Amino acid sequence: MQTSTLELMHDQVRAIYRAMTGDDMPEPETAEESEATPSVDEVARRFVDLELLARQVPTVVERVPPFSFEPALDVIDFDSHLLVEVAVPGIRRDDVTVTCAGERLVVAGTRGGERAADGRCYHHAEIPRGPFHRVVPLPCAVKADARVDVERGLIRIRLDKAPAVTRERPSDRDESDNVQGE
Amino acid sequence: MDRGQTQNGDIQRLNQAIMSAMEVLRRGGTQMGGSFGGFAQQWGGGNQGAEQMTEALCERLRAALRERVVEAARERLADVVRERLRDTIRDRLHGDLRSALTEAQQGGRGFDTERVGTVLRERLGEALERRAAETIRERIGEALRERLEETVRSTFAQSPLAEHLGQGEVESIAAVVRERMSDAIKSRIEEKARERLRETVRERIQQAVRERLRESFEAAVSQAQGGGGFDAERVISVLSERLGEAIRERVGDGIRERLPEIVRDRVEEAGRERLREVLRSAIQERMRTGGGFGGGVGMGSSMTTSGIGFGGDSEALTNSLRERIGEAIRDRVASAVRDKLEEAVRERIEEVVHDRLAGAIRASVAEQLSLHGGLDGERVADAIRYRLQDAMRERIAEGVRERVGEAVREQLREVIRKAVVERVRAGNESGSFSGKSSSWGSLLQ
Repeated sequence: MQTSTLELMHDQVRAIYRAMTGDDMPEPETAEESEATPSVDEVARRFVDLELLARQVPTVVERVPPFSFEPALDVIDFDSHLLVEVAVPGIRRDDVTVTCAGERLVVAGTRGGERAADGRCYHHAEIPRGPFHRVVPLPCAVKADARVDVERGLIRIRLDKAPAVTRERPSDRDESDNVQGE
Repeated sequence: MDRGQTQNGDIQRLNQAIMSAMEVLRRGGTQMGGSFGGFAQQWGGGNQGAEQMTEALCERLRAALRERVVEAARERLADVVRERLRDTIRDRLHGDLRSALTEAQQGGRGFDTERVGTVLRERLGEALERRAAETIRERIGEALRERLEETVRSTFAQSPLAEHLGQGEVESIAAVVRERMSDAIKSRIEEKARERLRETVRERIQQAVRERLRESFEAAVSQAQGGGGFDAERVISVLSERLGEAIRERVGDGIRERLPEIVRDRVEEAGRERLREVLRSAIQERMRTGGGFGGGVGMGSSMTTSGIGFGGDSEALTNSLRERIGEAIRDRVASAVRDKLEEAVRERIEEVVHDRLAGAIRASVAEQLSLHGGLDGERVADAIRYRLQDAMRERIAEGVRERVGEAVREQLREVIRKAVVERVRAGNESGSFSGKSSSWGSLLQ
């Protein structure tokens, strides 16, 4: 697991603690050397259990941003390619991973955003942060290379169709000029 | 420091943070944002926030009761009381009036109208105040019930409590509060109604007599003389009819005016003296029953002496009994425990699968998707197993504990009884008991 994800998780835990108690979470004592470090999987499970439990508490729901989400997206069919637009506010290109396997596109990444527990006082926290993940079934076969661009909160993924289904259309040229290489 | 060490430290810190947050969540936090468990904790711990919530709820309830219950009393009670008084006046006035008229002539100063008023005030007043109090006692429960139910329910539904507890919990707490407050208000009104109505009823009777006696008397005499002679009974009848009307009106108005005040005072008194306690105890009771206070099975916790006297060689007796009981326990209790255990394990596994499986799958899939970026069958299975195993362990242990306790309770008493009876019989036959006492405790050590 990436260190940035761990940090986000830690930040989320602090935010939950603060929403529940009104105080910042005290920094833990330095871990004893003899204390065995739990596995990443174990900690991840505990974190998810905590998040699920916390989401049953109205204060947390209102004041702590949701952690991990499935962003909304559009799939637009052009003659020569597909354009997938995924809405993730504040996302940076480096934080996105796009994988194309057969007729399935997987878009994943992490939206860092501002730290939830860093002295901020949320009255409402609705914009999700943390890891996101979407699997999109595609309407046709595409080439393996995807061109990904991030602009104004939209991840735009251009997927060229496999040759058998390509039909030339003048507007395609204009569209392809807009997307940047990954 | 290399990356691996940093990540280990991060994981460990994150783990500690999760544990702290989980602990806070289980306790329900120190704010009022907790679930039922949290609320329970706040309540039990005398937390300031919870106290404020109770206080606020008390205030709202007091205000609502004052307003709506008093209104209900006015609407539903005053007319009934008035009706009942009409019957009493009809039944009593003729006789009381005759006595009053007789007494009014005995003073030696001619006919004393004020004396009529005083006598009626005392005699009829007592009957009317008694009747009014009886009617209130009979009907107050009914008058309160509907309005109290609606008032308590709506006040609870709009209170912060409703945000923290489910609708069912709020309903059941409201029901307890309603019932207890209804009793408290009812008993206070019953107790005070007669005392508080006494003056009103008597004053109004005297007032009616003072205002209407002369005119009514003249009308009655005139009617009585209409037939050519003077019929005293006829005078009393007419007088009673006319005065009765006036008394009924005056007393009815007096009660209508006074009753809301009586009810309001009693409602306020009940609210002041009982509401906080009723509210607190209703919530606590609900939490106790709803919160599942799981007590362990008290095995062998209360063996009492049966009064059978043992004597003679107590050491041998102890050993003999211990052996017999041990044998019987091995045979009968063990087999009962075995049967019960099998059933308990099967039931508890089914329960866990039923209650937890869907949640475990949901959490495991969420975990995989959000933190590992995809679904890996092995990992999901592992995560589900991880989530179910604790619940299963806990439930099975709990089931085993319960069933073992059950089997032991069922069998042990019988086993011991039989062993003792047999031993006593054997002792009697051999003459080894002398009637001295010994406790079961020492025998079973």
